[in-house]
Amino acid sequence: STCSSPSLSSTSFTTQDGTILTNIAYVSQFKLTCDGEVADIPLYAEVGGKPLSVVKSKETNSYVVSWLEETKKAPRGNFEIKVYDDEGYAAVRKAQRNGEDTSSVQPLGVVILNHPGAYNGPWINSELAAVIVAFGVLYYALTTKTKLEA
Amino acid sequence: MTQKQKALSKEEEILLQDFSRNVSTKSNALFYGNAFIVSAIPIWLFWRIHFMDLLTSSPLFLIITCLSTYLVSFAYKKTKFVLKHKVAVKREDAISREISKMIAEDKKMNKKEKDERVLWKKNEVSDYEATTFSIFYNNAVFLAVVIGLSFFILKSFSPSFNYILSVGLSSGLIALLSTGTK
Repeated sequence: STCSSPSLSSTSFTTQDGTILTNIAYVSQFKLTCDGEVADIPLYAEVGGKPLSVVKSKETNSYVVSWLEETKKAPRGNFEIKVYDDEGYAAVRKAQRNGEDTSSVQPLGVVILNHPGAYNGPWINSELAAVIVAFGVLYYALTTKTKLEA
Repeated sequence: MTQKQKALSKEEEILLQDFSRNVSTKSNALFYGNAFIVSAIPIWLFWRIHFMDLLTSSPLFLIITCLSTYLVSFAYKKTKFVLKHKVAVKREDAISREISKMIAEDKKMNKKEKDERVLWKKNEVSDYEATTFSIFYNNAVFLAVVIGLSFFILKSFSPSFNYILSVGLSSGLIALLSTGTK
């Protein structure tokens, strides 16, 4: 089934706090309308040349795409999620098999996901800061005692 | 004869106080009170950060806190005694000048009484300064060693063992250092 005049609306979620995590999650939820009506066709997605499975929720008629990246390697910024229908995706797979550039295939739509970056914990952890302060005070106490005994 | 004896004994009293290792009741209360507070601080650290259960570990906390209180106040007293004389020597000139200025107009006071006043004031000032500095210095060493031991050196031990060793060794260390006769 093909979709004419496709329109995509999306919301995205990304992990904001990576302090105790090994991976950052990128999740994009979008709705597809064809000719003004909500579509129910199977879709395929691709991000940065990587194919992703698209899950459809029956209750809300929305599609969800998600993937994980390691916290240390997780890049921030805008990600283009190319959404294809059956035909489009078949064309992409054919181009990949033939070693051709997949950007020649026009996607149904592009969803932009923005990841502002995740918090990875403080620069100095608290016990190091406590030790630095404690030994600073100790140093002052020692030097004052030496002066008194001089 | 008895008046002379009384006057001598007053001077002797001040000198005895000066050279005595015994602390007054007020100083004692101050030392034990401070020692208890400082010894109790690591309990909070181990309860909230190392996740030791307060109720089940309370006998251990109590025993170690009491031992640490005793050792820390021992350190306070020893350090104070050693420092008192160093402080007295340093402050002697300034105190003599201050007392002389204060009693310059009072011609009735003889030299002996003036010297007595200077001696008494010197004792008071050096006692106070030595007490407060001893508390500050010993607290600084104790807390720095507890933090250093519990977070870095004894990190991989169980929390109870970590607590016993870090507080025990710190209070033992300051007690030992205070017995130095520099």
